[in-house]
Amino acid sequence: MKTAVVVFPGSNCDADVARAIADSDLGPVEMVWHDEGDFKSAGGPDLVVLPGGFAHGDYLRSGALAAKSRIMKAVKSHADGGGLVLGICNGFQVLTEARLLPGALLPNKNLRFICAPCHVRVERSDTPFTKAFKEGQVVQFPIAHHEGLYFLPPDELAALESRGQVVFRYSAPAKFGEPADAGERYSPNGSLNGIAGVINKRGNVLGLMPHPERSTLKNLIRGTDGRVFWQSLGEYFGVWGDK
Amino acid sequence: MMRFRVDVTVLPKDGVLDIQGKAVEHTLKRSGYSAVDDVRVGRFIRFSVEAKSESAAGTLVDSAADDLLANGLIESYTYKLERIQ
Amino acid sequence: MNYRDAGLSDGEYNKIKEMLGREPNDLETILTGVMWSEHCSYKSTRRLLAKFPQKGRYLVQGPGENAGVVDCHGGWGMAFKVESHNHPSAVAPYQGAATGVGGIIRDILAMGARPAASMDGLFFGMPGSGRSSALAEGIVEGIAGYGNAVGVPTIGGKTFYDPCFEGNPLVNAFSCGIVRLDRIVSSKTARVGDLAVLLGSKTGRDGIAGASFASRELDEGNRESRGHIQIGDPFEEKLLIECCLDLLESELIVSMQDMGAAGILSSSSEIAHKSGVGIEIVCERIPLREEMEPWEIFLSESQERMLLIVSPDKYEDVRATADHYALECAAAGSITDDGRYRVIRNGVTLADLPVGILGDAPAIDWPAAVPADMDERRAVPRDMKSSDPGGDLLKMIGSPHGSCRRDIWTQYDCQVQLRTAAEPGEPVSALRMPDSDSLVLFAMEAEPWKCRADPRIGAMETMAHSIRVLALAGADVLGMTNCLNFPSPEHPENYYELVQCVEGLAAVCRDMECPVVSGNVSLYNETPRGGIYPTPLVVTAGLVPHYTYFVSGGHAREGDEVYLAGPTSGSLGSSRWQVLCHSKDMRPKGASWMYDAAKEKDFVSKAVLVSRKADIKKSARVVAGGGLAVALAKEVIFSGVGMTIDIADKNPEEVLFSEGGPRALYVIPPASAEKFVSCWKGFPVTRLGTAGGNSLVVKGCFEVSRDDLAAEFFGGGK
Repeated sequence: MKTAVVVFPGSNCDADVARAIADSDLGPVEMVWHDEGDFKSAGGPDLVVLPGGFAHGDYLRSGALAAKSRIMKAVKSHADGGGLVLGICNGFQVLTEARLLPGALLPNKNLRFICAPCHVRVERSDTPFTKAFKEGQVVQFPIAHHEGLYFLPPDELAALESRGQVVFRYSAPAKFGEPADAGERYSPNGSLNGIAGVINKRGNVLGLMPHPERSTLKNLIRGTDGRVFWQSLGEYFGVWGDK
Repeated sequence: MMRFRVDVTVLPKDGVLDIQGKAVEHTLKRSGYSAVDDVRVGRFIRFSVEAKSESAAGTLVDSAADDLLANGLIESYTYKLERIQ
Repeated sequence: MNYRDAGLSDGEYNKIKEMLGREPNDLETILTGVMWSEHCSYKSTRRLLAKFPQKGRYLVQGPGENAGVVDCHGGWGMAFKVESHNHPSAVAPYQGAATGVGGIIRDILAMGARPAASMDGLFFGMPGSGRSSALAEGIVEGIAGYGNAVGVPTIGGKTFYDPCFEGNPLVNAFSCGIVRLDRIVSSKTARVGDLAVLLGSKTGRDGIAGASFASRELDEGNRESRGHIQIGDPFEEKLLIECCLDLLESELIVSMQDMGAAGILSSSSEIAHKSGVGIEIVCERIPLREEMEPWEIFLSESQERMLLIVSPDKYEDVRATADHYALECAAAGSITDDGRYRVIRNGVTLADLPVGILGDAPAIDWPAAVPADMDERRAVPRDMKSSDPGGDLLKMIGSPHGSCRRDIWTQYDCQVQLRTAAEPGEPVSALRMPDSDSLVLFAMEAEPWKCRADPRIGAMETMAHSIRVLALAGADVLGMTNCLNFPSPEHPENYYELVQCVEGLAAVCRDMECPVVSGNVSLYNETPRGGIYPTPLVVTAGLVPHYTYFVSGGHAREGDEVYLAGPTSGSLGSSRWQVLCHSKDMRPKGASWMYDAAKEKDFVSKAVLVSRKADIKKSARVVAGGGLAVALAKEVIFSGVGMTIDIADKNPEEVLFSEGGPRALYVIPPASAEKFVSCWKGFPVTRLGTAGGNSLVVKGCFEVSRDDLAAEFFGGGK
């Protein structure tokens, strides 16, 4: 499995994602500067990650300037060919601005940056990004953003839900033996329907506001629930089977 | 060729949560400006452009706004052109 | 122009004439005036700061560079420093705080280190009073806005509230960075023929004369001050960090210097002075945002700029790297062999000074006088009684001083770079070191009330407290950085307090073998209503060799035994209880715990010993603000289990609310109790009671439910 992490000027979770992937033994990681025309690795990457941070300072709108980067053409054609694309936090904002994912991310309801651990319910376990989770499982991923309120007009939102494109939803903490409640009342940021992560119709482009890479390395704060996220990708690409 | 000064105003669309607008309105009202209503907070962008005609300049501004300056899903924009030397 | 307008005294001006052998021209007068300002020259404190010990087992780089560096094993060092941005934050809270964060990060970067974490010491007026809340909100947003975007986590800090900070809030920005010990950048390495290269933002009129402006008392309502405020761009800074680290990695630069106070002037003259060479700067080669006079160019404090010293054959490569990051880059001058500082425009020399003039402002010793009311301040009120100790406890943990500051730190990204090993809000901040199991800890402490009551004893308690916190957590002390926030030194009583505080800090550092590696002084913290309390802030660093040794609180379980290590009481003087619950006007009164070096050392060695015992399970916290009562309450809140304590027939106020001294609360499972107690042989340790139930019970005194404690702690202080 080969991963390319795109580095925009102002990205700041690029190295963290690379470390989380290395820590999960998922194979080589290529860092790609936004100005490049294409990925370097032979045959192209299996997974492209748009990391968190403040690409171009979040000026104009979060993700808007990064969506116009040269590398985004290559990211689009990778996605068009069915390749996996993952946008975390600012990367999710870039994906919506690049129209690779529906919706937009508006300023948090309290108009403040929020950095906190956060419960999310895994709504689908049949995607390459979530196959190691159980459907309905509640995990703790940290969030850290100022624009995380997922917005779509009501009819489009309903259509998104009916197509099952919501993969992660803010929820109550897990309770033993009971399904956890999830939805807007658990959104730390006011996100509609409690949406924390969405996937495209084809099922190969995922964007989420929480940071799985921030709960991956051991003996740091905020847990290790994110390991299962990387494990999903490892299983999907049969990484560990190869060994 | 002619030169125009372009003033683009970008505002959240009706129906899109405008939290900043709500916050500003709330504070204005609390500060005694009870007659104030319908506050929206957006962006103002100014630049100059060279074009053959006013309508050509308008086409260019529309394109730039659709492409980058406003996110059509959540924002609408208006603009003013003024010819400059 | 009149030299007095440049901030120079008659004596100073004569000195310049003497050193120069002629009258300085206007530009030379301005340049010297700024470099001789308090802010740039530390003229009032330089001799005083020499009292700080600068020797220590882990010391790699002491004061004199952009930041200090300590050895953290494995070839890695930690650069760290704290710096004030008080005056700018009082005038423009968001930008003042933001540029404070940006400035200290560049200091760390200038050492060749990757900025790895920030912390902030914030001192505000009481919430709801005057502009205090608006200032506090703006300052916190500024720290968040800059720190989050620049990709350096804010992992902790300290917040303090007192009416003396109304209109004069303090923002002490701390940053630390990780550096390979063999890659530390020095400002002494510029060689004749090297180029002086400006990297980063263009120079504009912002922040002009900020340096001398910070050396004057704040004039409330002075709208003109606004012109001095710099605007920060964290996006540019993030690129600057990556670019500079890239240049160092590729060995393309000889040295670098951040541009803080007095911008180009200060950075270029310092590097020339310290390297023992001269420097020549050509005005028209400096990228400008607007047309500017030479003096404006040299004094501008435009943010996000670095001065690089580059060998001419590497310059094209440096430019290419700057281009990659879309940063402005220009060779604006060169290093000369004649020891002169020269400003040139269009071939004409506008200023020509020996670099030594700029680097060596004459020191000033202000007269000191014991404050007339010193005895009164020191006297601990007798027979202080509480009619409702449980109520007092709730009041303290619900106050802005005692309550959870989550509303502040959830606005800060505390996790980026994936090194953070302690939650913000814990008594210590912790970072994992690269390729290693060790942790570097930081404890930020300040005790303005105690320093007001007795500056020497208060400063000693401040410093000793920071070391206790580290020892309890399992760390060996690496070194300390400090920010000395004081009112005008020109008043003898203020200067006395400054001297006493410095001597107090220095004495404890010497005893505890803690070198002072860097620091900053902020004087003239006054408004027309008066000066601030003496507020020396320290950040002490420690090293835990393995993360499994790290001791923290909040792990008490039903059935555990509760112990107090150390004397059963400290001092009620200027304690949180005395100020918040006993005094009517929120005035601190009475000296704090009398520091005792032998006891402190004993505590430290034993606390570290306990931390190393893997077979002793423990939950622990140092007894500090609010005394034992608050320490117990926090253990109850974070552990989710009650405690029942018996203080026998001891004076409840003394036992529950007194502060200071080497004292810590430990909660230990019965199976580990014997081993725990034996670790403290020769040091007082008292069994207080047991953990269990849902309330904090002090027998015969009070009972408060965990829910009530948590409600006050998490909901109070607003």
